Amino acid sequence: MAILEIKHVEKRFKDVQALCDISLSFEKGIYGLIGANGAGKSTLFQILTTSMNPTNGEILYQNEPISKNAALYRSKIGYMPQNHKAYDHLSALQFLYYMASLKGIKKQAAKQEIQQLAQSVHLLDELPRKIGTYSGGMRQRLMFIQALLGNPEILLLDEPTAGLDPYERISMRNHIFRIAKDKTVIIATHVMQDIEFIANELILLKKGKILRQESGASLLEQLQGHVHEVIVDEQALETFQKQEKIARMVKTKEGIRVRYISKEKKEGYVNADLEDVYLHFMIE
Amino acid sequence: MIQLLYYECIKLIKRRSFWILLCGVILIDFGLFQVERTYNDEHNLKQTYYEETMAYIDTLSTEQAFQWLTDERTFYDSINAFKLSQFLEDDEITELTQTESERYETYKDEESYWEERKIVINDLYDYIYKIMNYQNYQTQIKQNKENIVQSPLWNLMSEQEQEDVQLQAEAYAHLQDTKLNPVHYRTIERYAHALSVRLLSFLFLCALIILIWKEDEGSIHDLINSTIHGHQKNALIKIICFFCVGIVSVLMIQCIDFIWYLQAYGGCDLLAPIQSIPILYESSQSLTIGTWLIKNMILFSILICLFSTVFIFLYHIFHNKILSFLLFFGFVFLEAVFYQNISESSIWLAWKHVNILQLFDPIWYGNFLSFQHLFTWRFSAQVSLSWICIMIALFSTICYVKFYDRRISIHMKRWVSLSCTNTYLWIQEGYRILLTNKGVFIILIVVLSTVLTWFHRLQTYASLQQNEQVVYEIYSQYAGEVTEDTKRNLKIKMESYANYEQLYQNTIASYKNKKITYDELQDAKTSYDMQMRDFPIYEKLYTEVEQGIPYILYDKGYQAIFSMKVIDRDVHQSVWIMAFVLFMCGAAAYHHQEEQLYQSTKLGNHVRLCFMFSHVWMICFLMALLVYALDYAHFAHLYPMDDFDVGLRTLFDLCHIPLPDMLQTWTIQQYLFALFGIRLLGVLSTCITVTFLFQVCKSRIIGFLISAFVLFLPMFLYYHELTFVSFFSLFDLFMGNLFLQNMFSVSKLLLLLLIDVGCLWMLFQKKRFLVFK
Repeated sequence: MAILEIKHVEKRFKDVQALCDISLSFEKGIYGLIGANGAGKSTLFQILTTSMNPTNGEILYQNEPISKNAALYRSKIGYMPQNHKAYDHLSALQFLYYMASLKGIKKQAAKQEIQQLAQSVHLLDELPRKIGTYSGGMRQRLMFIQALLGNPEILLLDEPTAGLDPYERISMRNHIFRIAKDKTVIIATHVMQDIEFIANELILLKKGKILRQESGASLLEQLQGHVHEVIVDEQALETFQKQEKIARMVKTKEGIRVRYISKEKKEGYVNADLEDVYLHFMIE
Repeated sequence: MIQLLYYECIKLIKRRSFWILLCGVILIDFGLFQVERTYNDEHNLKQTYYEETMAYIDTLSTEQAFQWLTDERTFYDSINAFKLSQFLEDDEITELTQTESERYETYKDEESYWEERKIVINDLYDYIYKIMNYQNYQTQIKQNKENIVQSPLWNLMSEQEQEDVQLQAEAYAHLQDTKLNPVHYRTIERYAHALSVRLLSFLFLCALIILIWKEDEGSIHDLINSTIHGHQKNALIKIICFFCVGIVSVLMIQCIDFIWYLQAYGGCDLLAPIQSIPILYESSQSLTIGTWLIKNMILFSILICLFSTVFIFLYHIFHNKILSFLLFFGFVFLEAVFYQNISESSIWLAWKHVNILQLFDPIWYGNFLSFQHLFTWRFSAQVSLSWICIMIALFSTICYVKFYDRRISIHMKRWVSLSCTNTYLWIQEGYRILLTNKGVFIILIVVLSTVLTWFHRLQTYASLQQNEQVVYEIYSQYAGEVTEDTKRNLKIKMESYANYEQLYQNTIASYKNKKITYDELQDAKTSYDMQMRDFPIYEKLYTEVEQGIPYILYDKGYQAIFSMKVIDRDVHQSVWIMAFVLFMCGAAAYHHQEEQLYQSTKLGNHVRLCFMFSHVWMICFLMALLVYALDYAHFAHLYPMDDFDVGLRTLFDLCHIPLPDMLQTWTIQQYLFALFGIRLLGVLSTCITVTFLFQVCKSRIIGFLISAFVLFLPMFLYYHELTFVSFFSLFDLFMGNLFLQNMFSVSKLLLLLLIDVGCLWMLFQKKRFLVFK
């Protein structure tokens, strides 16, 4: 039985169709919601966090529409917003206690939980500091802790690695992987490396429509035979670019090594990665 | 719930902006208080005399004080009679005793001393008289009630009316044994009449609402919404938090304000009954002054917070915050217009009495009995307005909590799309300054306050205008150059007044000789008063002509427009306009990062700057024109003016002000143009200077502080007698009259123009030789 189900959800803002007949179902595991900027990821998250109502369709939590018991549903979700820049004047500890009280957690229980979670993301010693003095990575970890408060069944993470350096990015990925064993985690991102190794399923969203909902391996399999690498000289590059969808270019002694995605399957292919998948499906 | 409330309050009070706002309000209040105090100290001798007299009365018992005041009154009456007899050159000059004569000789030449002191003594005499006769007043009320009960009218009254009479009598019965003592009532009366602290508290509450509700917008709004208590409960908690912090802060602001009054105007016995204060003498409340003040402050804080909940609802419900502001402040403005303009005889009078603006009047609370009074369901303005506030708060809170998840987006058609780059850059700059950076509110505040002040002045001076019309009609008969005919006509008129006088004196003599009856004397006096009604006007005219003035001019309007005898109006206007320029330039200033981005574009440097400056300067210019034009319109309405082509010398001679050499050949009209020209030059120079300062400072706050320092410090120093600062300051240009009369200097004007050109050049060069972070 699906824990969370999105059924024919549509959202329209005046003349813009932000989401168009979205139907998805989520069980335990990590889901990557992939889409370019403006694809509708944040709108879908706003609907999933009950900040916005869909124009059509409904969201089911354990087969019950969330509108029937919104309070119960809210007690089961944890949300990590993107680009959080508020409450700079509060200490991290005060902010977490505030979030705990909003989630209806008693102070004593909140204290224990905050300590455990802060310990796990190496933020315990920094909790008394004001949020305004935090670096981007520390802010993200703090927001991650608040999302986990109350041990929610469903975690909604909106670009959790945005603005982080490579080390912090890897570190955040590991934290997500560690806590995701018995939860439904939905990560909205357009950075493929974030979810490459941890997501059970990828959802490709383009202009408010679902293109694919499959595992990473399955998507990679579909691209087998489409990704190639050749060496071209600089004069020929321009003509080549017009003919093929270029994924990467590296300058070498022999010329420029170009990785491209062909429309047809061809011999002499190389192994595809998720960036190739993104290019193949999302870029026209 | 308590935990959530605690953290909501912590969120607010930990914010630096909250403390800046609170301290800002307290400082502005202190500034306004100081301005009022300075004005009173300089222009109100009564205050000093009052303090001196009260200090003396404190050393006496009530009876002794009353006796002393009676003697003083007699003394001032004798002085008056003596002066009058001297003036009229009577045959029998009123004699003064030796003591009286000695006192009179000491202050003989100080006319205002006698006038002001006499008023103070009369006021205090009436006050002590009332204090001593409070028991009689009570007995009279009791007697009145008994008379009503025993009269046949009683049976014709409805039960409700009978009950009202009983209740009123019962209310006063509590005061039967109250004994009043004189107190320093003026401190309390002054505090009660000060409106600024209440208006500032109201504005503080509006800003507080924005602070509380603005924080949880954007991504944090989604985060809070995703929690179990993030909807209705959180909404309710925010309102409770607003009430807690709002009430406490408003009480604090008012208490601090009251302490300043106590410090400045002297203490008052706060344990005395409120009836000791003349404005509350008739109150039926059994309260001490202290409790009354506390009750006042608490009631005001609660009611104004209750009313402000409308703003919470409007601020939350509309995505477009400008709409919320327009609706809320539009309503307050409408109420203010009704409050100011509905007369006591209007059929809309109820709208004035049950008006939100009444909340700002402390005297209004004087008849507010108690909270139980709210549930007696009897009509009174206080009860009705309190219930209106409660209903407004309940309705707004319910709507806000109920529709917390629904917000209204009204897409107002914009003038241009923000994606336009070249053609509409000018309009977009205006859009940015006025709407994005909220410049429109600064304009609204100035326009509203200027227009409201204008209406208020029109209303206040309505009766004076009629009197002035009479004076003007007399003047207009003789206006123009003084000819022999004019002199002769005036002499004839004065002789006829002398005849009236002689006739009246003969009538008095006839009465003394018992040739005519008292009634005939009274008739003669009435007729004499009628005949002599315009005598002071003719006498003034005649005296001026005798002194040799070449031209008869009805000079009051010109004097008023040029602020020739009082400069306070000029000071107020100047501060007001300089503050407007400061805020407007602040609204136009860019953030440093924003500016870096714009500078990298094709039109982002010179063209954009030109557009920005033209907007700000044009707006400042128009606002200054509005302020000056309304001021001019007011005086032109009050005092008719037809003689603009008359030489300026005539006007200056009439005002006994020496005319500077430069102005010897000028006409009044030329002076008027020069005055407004200088003032507008002051506005322009200030605009350039302040824009320049904002541009050279990276931080907007630093820019604001430095500009305020540059504009207001010279003014402050000048008023502390460091007059030389006027040679390198701008304020005397705003006060054009001061500049033209006392400080005109071509070199200063040239230097100023040079500085302006230099600032403009550097503005366009974008040289940041002074970069403050």
